[in-house]
Amino acid sequence: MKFLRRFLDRIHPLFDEGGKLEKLYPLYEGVDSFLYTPGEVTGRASHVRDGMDLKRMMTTVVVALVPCIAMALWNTGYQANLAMQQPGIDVQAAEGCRGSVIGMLGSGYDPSSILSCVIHGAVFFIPVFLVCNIVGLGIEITFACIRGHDVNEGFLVTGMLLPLTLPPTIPLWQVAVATAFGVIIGKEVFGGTGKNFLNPALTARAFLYFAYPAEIVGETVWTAVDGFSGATPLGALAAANVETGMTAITGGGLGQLSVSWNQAFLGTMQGSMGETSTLACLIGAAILIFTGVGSWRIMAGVLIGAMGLSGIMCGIATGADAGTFTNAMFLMPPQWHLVTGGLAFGLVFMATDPVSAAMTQTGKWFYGGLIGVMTILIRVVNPAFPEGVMLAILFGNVFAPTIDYCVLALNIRRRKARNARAA
Amino acid sequence: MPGQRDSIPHILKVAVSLCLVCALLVSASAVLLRPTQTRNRDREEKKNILIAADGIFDPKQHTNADVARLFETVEVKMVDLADSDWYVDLPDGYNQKNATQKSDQSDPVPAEADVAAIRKREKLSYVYLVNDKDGRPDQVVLPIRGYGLWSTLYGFISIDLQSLKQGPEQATVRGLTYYQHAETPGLGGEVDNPVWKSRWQGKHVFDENWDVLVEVTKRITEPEHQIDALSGATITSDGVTNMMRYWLGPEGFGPYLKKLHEELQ
Amino acid sequence: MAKSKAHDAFFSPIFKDNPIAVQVLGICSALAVTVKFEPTVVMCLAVIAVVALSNASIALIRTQIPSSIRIIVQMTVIASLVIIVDQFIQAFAFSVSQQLSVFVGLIITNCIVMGRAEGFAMQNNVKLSFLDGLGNGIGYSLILLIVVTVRELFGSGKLFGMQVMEIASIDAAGVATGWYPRNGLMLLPPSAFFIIGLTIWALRIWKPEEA
Repeated sequence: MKFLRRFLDRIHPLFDEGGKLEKLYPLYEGVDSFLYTPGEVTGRASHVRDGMDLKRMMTTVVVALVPCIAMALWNTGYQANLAMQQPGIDVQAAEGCRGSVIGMLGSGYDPSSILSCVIHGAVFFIPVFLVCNIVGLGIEITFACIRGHDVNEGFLVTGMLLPLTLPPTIPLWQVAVATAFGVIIGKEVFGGTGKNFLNPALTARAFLYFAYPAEIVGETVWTAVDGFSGATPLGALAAANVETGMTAITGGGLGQLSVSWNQAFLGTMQGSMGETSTLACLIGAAILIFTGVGSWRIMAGVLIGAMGLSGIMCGIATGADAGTFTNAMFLMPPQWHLVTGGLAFGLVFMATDPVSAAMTQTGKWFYGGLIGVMTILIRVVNPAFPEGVMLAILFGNVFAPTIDYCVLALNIRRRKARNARAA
Repeated sequence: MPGQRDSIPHILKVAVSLCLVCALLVSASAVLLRPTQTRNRDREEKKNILIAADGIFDPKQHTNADVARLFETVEVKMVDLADSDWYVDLPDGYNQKNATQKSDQSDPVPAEADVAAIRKREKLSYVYLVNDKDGRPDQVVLPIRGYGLWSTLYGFISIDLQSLKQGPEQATVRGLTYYQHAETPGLGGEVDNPVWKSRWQGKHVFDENWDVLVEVTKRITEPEHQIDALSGATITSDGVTNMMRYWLGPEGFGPYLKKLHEELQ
Repeated sequence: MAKSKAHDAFFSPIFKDNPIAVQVLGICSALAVTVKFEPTVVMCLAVIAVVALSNASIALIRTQIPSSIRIIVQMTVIASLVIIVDQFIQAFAFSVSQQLSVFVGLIITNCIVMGRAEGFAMQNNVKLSFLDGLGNGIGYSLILLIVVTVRELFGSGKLFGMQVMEIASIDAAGVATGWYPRNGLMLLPPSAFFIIGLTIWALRIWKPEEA
């Protein structure tokens, strides 16, 4: 690999001050530090005694995401292969070049074969992933060049998270537009990585949610098989009436889903590509908490907020007469809220984004709790949106600075009072 | 000088004269422009009725100037929904939209019957009988409203009279239009989509017992009386179904349509 | 001198001191009425008329207005003008007035109108105040027109009210027509925030001295 180092060293002058490609120095620097550990060391005494830098932090998140990505690859293909075997669905192969790739590999469409499912999932996940990263990095590098700072690893995680929150059928041009919107409006207008108060991946998803709702909500988007229609558990319950209640998810009758809690926990159901498996998210959470990259306080806060409020709602609703309320979402028990939709994924990977979350330790509890409560409120009370994690986290992002400010102000007041007494 | 300007008599003088001038200007403009405004409102309502009536008014072909001529085939009648379910004389200056705010002109709808979430129903309602070229009764346009996701949707539905004559199970829809709502653009707002509206044409309204069958649904099993739901807009779609159940049912125009059926024999 | 003063009163609010882009005033109505071209133009004309006339009338009686009730006097003048303008729109542009609904009435609360009356017309003569009102109204309209152009183009595929991109849909026969999938976000009010924000961003990069 020496020749690579030599090559990079040889072209270095081109990008240096006064060089021909001076404007593109961030691009050069980015490639260099992606491939090699930077040679610069702190010359004077440094006060930080931790190897944890942005690069390592982001890499840890990516590692923690591996179970979710694996699940996204398999489940996307599994759901599609299952759907193709449904009676009345006349689809023999995936459409267009996706079908050709599967045909070339000869993996077929067998839901019981892991390889077949993973390949069928990959032909949907990989293009979304590539488009997202090419567009995102392109914008990141452009801004770095204009502003003359280094390209950092900020987009790496965003580029992983966004594809996982999208349905497999999402048109690729929409992925490109959304990524551009998320990176520019969510991050670059505020000054780039570290200065954004919104999570860029969620900003991008929210853009798609409001701009092209037909491709990201409903019953036909979650499985990449033409003519197949299958709701997510939350969507099914939101459309059900009170008498049907939770049987809309578990019943298996006409127009009902048949998803057990175990299935929902493992993730073999309809949903955005990476969000279905609570198990995969838990493994990720363990990695993040063990390495100290993700805040366990935020995760616990979201969990307490969501489980607490849904527990109260479900408790009241199951005790009440069926005639007194008309919204079946009230009947969903807390343990179901955790395993359906994107709550687990959002609380592990999105809410804990250190830049847009609250910074103070006490603030993290409140921030998490706020997100948990808002998630349940949007899911249950708002009639329009069956899923609320995305909006709840964005809402929490907006309030994070205020929460920190209040925590600090209270702390200062308390210490002042203590000092006054002492004096 | 400033002291004099802030003296009480001066303040009163300025205030009174300013109020007089402003009041004069405002009322003058309101009075002088009232006839034009009423004409506009009138024409807009007639236009919406004609659009619902099987597209007699087609925005692509006709302009506002055509409205009066096209409306000549329409007979405006008043139906007493509270009492006789049949025609009564047109009262002077009756405003159907304001009627629900007046206790003597409307009745509260009991909660269990209020499927369209309208709370109050006016006692008197306009209906519009449309005649065909030969002067035979062709369709009847009924005002309907009901709650969707974010807002009350106001509209008109037109029922075919020749098929109604043959019996309730034959009666079909001729057209539907909404002229006021605030549903989500692109989802529930698609109630304005001409393609979706055109799907209503020819759908059967009732079964042989005058129970309302026409509905909006995601899974079409009986296409004679089911219309495709608006994708991604379950609640608006349900709202449309509920408003049909209410306004064409026994609480709404159901009894009137029954009498109209007998009258047509 | 007088000429350059008049020149300043008219042109500075259009570019240098734009009420929306520089002072960030009056953006409430900019969010609400900028989905379609026609209502936006009517709204712009209404605001231009109200600011210019209210400025002129307040400048006309400025020496008589007692300072203790001056805000009420300004409000009365502005409110009367708004009602008159609203009556005219209802009479002569009915379908547009239906789409604008309450937002014409809400010009009364538009910060630009009150701001110019209190900040400029109370100290200047009729001619200058009228020009200042005209300039502010046009400055406001300029931004609204930028916003509506973007929103209408991407939200409805139209440019100045004319269809330039066929909206993708499925017709009654089940055949797909058109090619442009509308952007639903552009039909919702928050999109105007993004566009105004990006416009301000662009303006400040172009002319950093006004930031």
